Amino acid sequence: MTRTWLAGKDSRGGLLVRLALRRFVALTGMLALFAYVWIYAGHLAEAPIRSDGVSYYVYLPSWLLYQDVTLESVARECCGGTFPAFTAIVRWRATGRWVDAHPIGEAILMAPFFVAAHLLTRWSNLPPDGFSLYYQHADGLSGLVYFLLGLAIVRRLLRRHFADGVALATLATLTFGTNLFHYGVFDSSFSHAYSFFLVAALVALTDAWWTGPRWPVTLALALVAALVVLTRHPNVMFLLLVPLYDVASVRDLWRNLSALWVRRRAVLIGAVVFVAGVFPQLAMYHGATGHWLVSSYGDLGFTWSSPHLFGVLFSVQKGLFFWSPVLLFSLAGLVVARGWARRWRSGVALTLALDTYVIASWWDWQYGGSYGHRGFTDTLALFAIFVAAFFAWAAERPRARRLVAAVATLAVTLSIVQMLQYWLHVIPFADTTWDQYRRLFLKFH
Amino acid sequence: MTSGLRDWEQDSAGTRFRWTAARASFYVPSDATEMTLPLRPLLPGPEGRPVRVEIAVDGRSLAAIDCQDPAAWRRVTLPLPRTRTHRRYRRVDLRVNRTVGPYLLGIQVGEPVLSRPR
Repeated sequence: MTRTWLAGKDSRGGLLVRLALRRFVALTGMLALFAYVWIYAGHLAEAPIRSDGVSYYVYLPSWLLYQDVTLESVARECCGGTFPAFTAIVRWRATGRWVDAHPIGEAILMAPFFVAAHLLTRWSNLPPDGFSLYYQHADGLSGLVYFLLGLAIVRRLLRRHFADGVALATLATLTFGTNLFHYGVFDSSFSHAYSFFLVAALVALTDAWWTGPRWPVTLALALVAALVVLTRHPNVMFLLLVPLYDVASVRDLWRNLSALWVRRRAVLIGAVVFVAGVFPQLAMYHGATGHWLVSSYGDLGFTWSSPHLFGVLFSVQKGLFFWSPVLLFSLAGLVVARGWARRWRSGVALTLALDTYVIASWWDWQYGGSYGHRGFTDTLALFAIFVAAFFAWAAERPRARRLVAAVATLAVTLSIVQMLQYWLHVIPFADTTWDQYRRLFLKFH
Repeated sequence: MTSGLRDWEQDSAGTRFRWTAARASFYVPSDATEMTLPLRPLLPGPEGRPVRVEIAVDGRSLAAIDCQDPAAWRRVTLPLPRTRTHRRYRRVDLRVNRTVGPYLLGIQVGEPVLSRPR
């Protein structure tokens, strides 16, 4: 039976798999809502607009409630005139104006939720200050919705190119074997759920653009590319996925560059839409600092010559593969990928290598408090392609299939347990040591 | 239902209070005619100046109170303007002119005492 459901054939198991795959996003959504209510009704976390979530959010009350692009009004209203240090919103020394380390993309994506919250607030006579009940949960639920939208895109891609069983196993692995569910529910006000959605959309639109270019696809690709950059600037590197699509050699790269030249009108219009999309951010930087491009983190920066590569990939503090070991399958997937997944191999390998180097070179390579390494959460749609490629390879080999299924089940279970430990404040939010990890292993108090 | 107020605490004299953030709101019955609100600026204002608290009811400004002494509760009695409303509760907004620390602490607010018609 296992073989037939992995192949998606019409046995009873196959039908169950097909049904579970069709309902995967809805079921995950129900579970996510249940967890969300538990987190906030059970006081496991402070209100959703907290930590980094504050600086991604403050644009909305500033623009829409106070009609102010300088953030001065919201500083006065939220914080008595000065943003606290944890927000990373600082006064630019030369001009005395506020510069937010976090860009505007998340606020743009969240805007419809904010407007709905504002109308509800007015209707129910709650304080329309941008931080009361409905605004808080509009922020929290907006991240949850984008997490589900990202999952829906990944599901659509996987269903089209892999057997149902492989697609379902990959989605379950991605959602519960990594920190994706955590960043879609617990820390949903951070940018990671949004970037996960945007990178998934970038992959889907790149695929569509190369296989059948149409104007709506061109415009959507340009808009998504702009939002990728507006939500997290270093993610600009993922735009390399577009020219590197289906490139396995230098000759393929020339073929793609030639094809881009043939489609130069679409490329030009896409570039204009992209620049128009990122322009408001550049204008905000210019208004605050007098410069079009700034390091919004001020003096904080990168240590390019001493990247913490082992730390970000394998350490007990925040190592990607330590906290999400199931992603090791994606490395094997890069080797055994066939068909559609192969088209992404060079682009994904290059962008993930670049991303790892950038993350490892950031002065705070642990990215502060987080469950697992949140720097990589944005890229999980890319990992999904190669986890699926590996599962597809294993599905054809009975011995490997059983072993892979057992290891994946264990890794996903461990990840869920550790996520709950983090929610219950058992696991430290940063700087976990090996001794702490061993002492707290599988303990809930 | 409140907004911008931390959990209840008790000082050494047994007075119950809550910390506000820069903005805080709570609700009073719409038939209340007067409210006495204890305020204490435990943390000093900017450059030693008093902490200013602006009080509004349903979005309409009611009073601006300066609180100077961090050791003493200042009990402010305010008449609540009578306006026609179909709501059973009216919203009282407090706006503090500075906050302190990562928790954005504004001012301590004690339990309001309300006068209502018999």
